[in-house]
Amino acid sequence: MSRLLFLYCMMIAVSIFGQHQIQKVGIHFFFNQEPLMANKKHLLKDSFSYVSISNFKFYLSEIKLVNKTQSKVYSKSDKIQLINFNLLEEEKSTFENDFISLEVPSGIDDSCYLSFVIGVDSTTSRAGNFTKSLDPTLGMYWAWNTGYIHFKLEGESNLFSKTSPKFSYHIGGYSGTYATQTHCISRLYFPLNGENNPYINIDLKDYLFKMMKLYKESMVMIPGEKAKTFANNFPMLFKQ
Amino acid sequence: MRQYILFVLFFFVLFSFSFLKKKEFVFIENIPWPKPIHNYTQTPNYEAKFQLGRSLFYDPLLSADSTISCSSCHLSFTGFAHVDHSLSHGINGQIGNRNAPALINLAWSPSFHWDGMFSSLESQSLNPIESPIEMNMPISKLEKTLNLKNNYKTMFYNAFGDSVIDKEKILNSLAVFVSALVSKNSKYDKVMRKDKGVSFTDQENRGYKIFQIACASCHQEPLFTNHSFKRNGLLVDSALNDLGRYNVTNNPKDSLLFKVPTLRNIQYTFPYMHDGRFMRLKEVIKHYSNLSFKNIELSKELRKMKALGEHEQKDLLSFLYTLSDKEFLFDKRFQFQR
Repeated sequence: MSRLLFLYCMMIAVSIFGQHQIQKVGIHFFFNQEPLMANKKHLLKDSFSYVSISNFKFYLSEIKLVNKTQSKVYSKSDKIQLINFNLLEEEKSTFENDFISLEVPSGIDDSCYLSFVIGVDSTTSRAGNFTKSLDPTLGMYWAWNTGYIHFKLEGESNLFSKTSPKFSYHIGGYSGTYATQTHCISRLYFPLNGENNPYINIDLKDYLFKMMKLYKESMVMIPGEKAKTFANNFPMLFKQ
Repeated sequence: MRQYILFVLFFFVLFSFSFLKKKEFVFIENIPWPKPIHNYTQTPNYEAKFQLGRSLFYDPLLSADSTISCSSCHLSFTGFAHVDHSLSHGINGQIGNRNAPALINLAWSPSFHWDGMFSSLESQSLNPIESPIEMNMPISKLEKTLNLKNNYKTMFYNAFGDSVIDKEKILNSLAVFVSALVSKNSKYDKVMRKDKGVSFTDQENRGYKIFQIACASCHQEPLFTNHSFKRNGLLVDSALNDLGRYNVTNNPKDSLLFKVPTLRNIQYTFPYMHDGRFMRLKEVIKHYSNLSFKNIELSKELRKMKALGEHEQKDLLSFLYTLSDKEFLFDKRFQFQR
């Protein structure tokens, strides 16, 4: 009897602890395949032009782990997460910055994809629930009628102007023609050593250059047609 | 043997007490608030005027294309400041040349805007409403627009006994709302009032002492501003070329003078300075700590400042955080009414 009880307990233990479930998906930030570092001047081919990023934050929602055709969902998260590339050390314990909270069941491999929306849905934007990642003191909220800034990208580049190199792209708008919540998918990568969390890659270069070519202005600050174009091109940030 | 151990333990405990630091004494005095300059609370139909002012404050109808309201640059949760934007933006995404200041305790302010252009709480809101790069709405057009709205005609009637909407009533009701934005319940205030169970930590105490020596000459308690105009050593941004109070008076002596802002809720009203050039409060403290007393351009109070060490800067920061008043920041009466 005691042997059976022992065997039973072992089976339960194995079922609980044997299925290793990862709770995080990392995000690796790049600029033209170079690791992105805050305020570092990333030089371009001509060795004179540069881009530096000082601020890069965006909301992720409707996060799911799916197969390539998105016909199967392995896990999902209902949380709206604010990803902040340049979070200060003292803020890291409060908010996610370079990882996504999501269960990754065992057996998942790099044939899987991460499906998500960049932005905050219209219901949440209107609800007035200003807690945690939706806290307006985080600098990602406009006003009641315009809602959240879904995507904020700021930095400098002498491609704009030597005297005014700064650029600021605040992409938002939650309803109507110019709603900018955008669905994206990304390949999921697993580290070769098998020790660290799976991750996705974001490379800003192609996206930023396309936007800079389309619009010569260095500022987009309100919902509208320009913000919509910026949002429509979000999928360029991720490898599929 | 047991007695010997007890004896040693007793002296060990006694010895240990001698190393406990004495709390540094800081003189805490509950400084009485002055009388407000702009006090509308006794006016007839005050509550109706407050609610009308709040409606107008949050209504994008006040802008030419109905996209921008006062709250677009003055967010309630961040001290009615424009957080995370160095320079505020208005209609069509146009960028201004200044950071929208916090709207906190304006009832006590003798002047408004970074250069003190306005001394009337009522007329000051005309500037952003009519400015082509802010809301771009001529007041005469706004009068006509609001007079076509039955809900506003009702609200104006309740507030003023007259449903005909004019410029004076619009500006008056906005002033009633804005004057009601009073923040006086931060941790600092509770300590000053000696509220039960509330006291500064050692670090906050040290920070308060540093504040009293280094900052209080301009950021006077309890409003944490003396409403004066100072030259604080900021270099002119050549792209903006903003000379501050000189733009109002044309007096060369007023060049680069800017209004001393309140430090209440300073933790949440970033970025800082008239052009939002400092994103973090640490940068502000560092700026003041690095001022040279030899710089004769500085206002006289700042020429006497001594440089603060790293620990002193952290202590000061810790004290400044006690000026945050979450009851004010999340007061539903001041928010958009859903």
